[in-house]
Amino acid sequence: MSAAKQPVSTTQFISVITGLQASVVFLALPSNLASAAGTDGWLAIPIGWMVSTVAAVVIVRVMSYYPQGTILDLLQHFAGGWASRLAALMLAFYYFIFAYDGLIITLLVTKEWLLPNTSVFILAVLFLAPGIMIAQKGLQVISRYALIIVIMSIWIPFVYLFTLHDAVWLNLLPMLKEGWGPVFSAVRVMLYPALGLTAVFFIYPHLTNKAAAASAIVIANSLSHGLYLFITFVCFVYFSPNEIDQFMTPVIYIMKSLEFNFIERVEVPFIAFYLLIFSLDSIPSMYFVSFCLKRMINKGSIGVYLGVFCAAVLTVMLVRSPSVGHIDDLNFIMALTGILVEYILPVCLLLFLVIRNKGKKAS
Amino acid sequence: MVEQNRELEREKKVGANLEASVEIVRRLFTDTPDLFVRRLTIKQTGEKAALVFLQDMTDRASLNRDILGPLQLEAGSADGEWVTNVAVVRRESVWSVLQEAIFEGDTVLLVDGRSDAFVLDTKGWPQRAIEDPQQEPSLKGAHQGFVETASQNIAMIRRYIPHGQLKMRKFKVGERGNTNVCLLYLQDVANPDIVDKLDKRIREVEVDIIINTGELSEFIEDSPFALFPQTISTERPDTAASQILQGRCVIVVDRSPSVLVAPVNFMAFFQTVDDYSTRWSIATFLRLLRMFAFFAAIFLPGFYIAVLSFHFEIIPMKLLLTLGESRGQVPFPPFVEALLMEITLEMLREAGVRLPSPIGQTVGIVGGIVIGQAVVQAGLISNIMVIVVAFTAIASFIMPNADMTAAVRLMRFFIMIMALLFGFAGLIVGFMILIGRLIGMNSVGTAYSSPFTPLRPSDWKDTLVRVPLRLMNMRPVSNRTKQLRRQSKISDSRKRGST
Repeated sequence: MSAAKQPVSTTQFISVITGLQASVVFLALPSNLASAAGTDGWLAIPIGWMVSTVAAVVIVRVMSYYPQGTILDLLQHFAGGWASRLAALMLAFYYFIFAYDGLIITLLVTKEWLLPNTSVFILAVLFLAPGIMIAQKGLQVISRYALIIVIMSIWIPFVYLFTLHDAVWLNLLPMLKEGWGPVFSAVRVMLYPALGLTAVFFIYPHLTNKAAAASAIVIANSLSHGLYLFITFVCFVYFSPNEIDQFMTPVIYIMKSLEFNFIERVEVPFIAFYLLIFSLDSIPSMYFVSFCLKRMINKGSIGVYLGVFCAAVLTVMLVRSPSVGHIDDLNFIMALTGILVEYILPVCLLLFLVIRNKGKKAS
Repeated sequence: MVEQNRELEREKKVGANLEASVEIVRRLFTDTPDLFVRRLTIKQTGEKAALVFLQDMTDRASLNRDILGPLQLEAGSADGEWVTNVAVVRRESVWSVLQEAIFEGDTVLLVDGRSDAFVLDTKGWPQRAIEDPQQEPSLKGAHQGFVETASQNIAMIRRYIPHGQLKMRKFKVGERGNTNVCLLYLQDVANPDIVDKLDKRIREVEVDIIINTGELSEFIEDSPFALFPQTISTERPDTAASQILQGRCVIVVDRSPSVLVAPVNFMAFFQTVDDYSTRWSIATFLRLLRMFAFFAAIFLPGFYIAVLSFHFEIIPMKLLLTLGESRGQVPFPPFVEALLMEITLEMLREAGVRLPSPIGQTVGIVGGIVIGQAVVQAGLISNIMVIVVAFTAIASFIMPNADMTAAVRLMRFFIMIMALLFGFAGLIVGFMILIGRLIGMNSVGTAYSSPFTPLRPSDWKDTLVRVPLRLMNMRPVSNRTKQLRRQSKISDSRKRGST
């Protein structure tokens, strides 16, 4: 469907970007930061925020050169069909890893906490089914979905405030005990949670208010980084600095401290609810994969390529059955391709476009 | 051959010869014993004439008093033309039009020497008196419900909106039924795109007949395979009028005791006319209660199954003991238990609807005693399950719209199966599918999930909450209305209560 028929409002846009960035990442972030820089790890978040904000603005700037089309149309227009196909292949690969990563984390969390006896394959099919249903309807429905899930999850951070009654604020002190060195090394950790900004490449032509795109993406980026900061603080003051990096998912463990008299093991229903939030990662990215594939081959409908995507996911899972070690490898590949796609590619594109336009004006 | 001739004849014009015309009438209406041709001489002009009508479709009193009386007995008007006491008189000359008019209950006057016929409005088919709306009773709303005659229904709506901008578009739908369908909207409020879209969709309907509004709704809605209703069908004129004022369109179908409202969004199914005449805080409470009931009716049995089959560790110890005691003797797993009870309940409900009301009460007693007591005493079903099912049933009765309730009932079984297979994860995936269906639908070009997504915070005043009326100065944005302002702000002096 054409972009005009599937408008995306600014709030929906913010929800999609925040969802792509934060939905699965926040689970492990505090322990990753802690292992990189101890309790000073949170200082890396504002720095990471600045870096990703610059990247975000660059991406929007690139898209404003060809506002009526996606990145693939832009490349086709300025650099020819082959560049467009190459980019489609690259983005398809990138978003495949993105979706796969989110899906595997969802599966492992589900298996560990909710359904220890169910096979991972069946769970994969279970989670792919609603994904296909929503993704095949296009960006408008995906962004509506993202917004409604974000609205429904607004209360979650407030629950974490309850854990603060056994907070040990002294954990945060002393600040910068080993200087700025570890903090800067932790900024590397922050590159991965900022990924997802390139969704603008595909959503931009659908935006109803393109003038607000830059501020919207900055808001989205700030929202997710604010969330990271909040959740990191909560975890740092709850767990002792020595043990926090031993938990894979401190954000879930912390809920064990919550006690209500009408329910035991609060974390179980919470994780069930988190599955909704996790879907904000895989649903848009599986749409982007299918969109890129469709553009590359120029045939068929999104639904067919979503089927191809699912088959690919299940095949990869067959070849290498998902495990915690697997996630580390995936995160590594994703961070690498992510830096390439989300930081280097937009900057190069912007330089290319600026130089090309200048050259045109001069001639 | 005869059929072909008849078709040809229908397209011909009325001739000047009365005898020939009567002959044609007889040929057009073969095997129609209720057709009556009454010959007379018009006293006013001395012309020979014939009245043609269907006996039971016409208002006999009006025919005798207002047509036959003046024509046969009274002196003519000054210009030598005949007169009757009928208000609506049309001149027609094509036989097919005349035939249609006769079938609708009009009387046709054929006059010797004139090549025109006169259609006199004497419609008077069997009618029901206007009664309380049966499906949608209300505490404070009006006690008039729609009846089976479109013109009366339109009149009832017009009583609420006696305004020049209330416009109507008339259609004939159905090859055989020739059903009158009317599209009502406020011209300066409703979005013209939506009106045109509905107009086009109604015109495109090609069927034999539209018996009821539900059928028309299926032909004009956006997603014919969806579980959820995409038009509201109401039998309350006050509801219809308030929907029109919100910028929506109302479709009145002749012979059907309810009208269609389109476009609608999900939240519209949870609003009732009473919400606006009770205190706003109470109305808000009821809205929230209905929303809670919606989710409880879908998810409660599934939740029970999921907790008992997968996640019993979340149940506190004391409750677990109670549950164990209750479930101790039950031989079935929770899913079978729930399925048995739910199916019994559905059967009871369906039996209650189909049975004549005196016997209907028996169903309630049998159901109550058998299901409520005997099954538990026999140890087949646990007490807790009975409570869950009863709670679910009450929750589904709270919803004001019957179509939405039906969708909820079906959705519940799906969620129960998901819960049986995957526990909480199944519930959540079921929820995702539910949300996916709701946000994926459009109702005549407006988002079904509005005002939540696309986000329209100004419409939230009349969704989950109902704010005081004096704060609702705008019409809902979700209906994409042309004129947004509904009322001007109440002045400050009024607010302070100085008047």
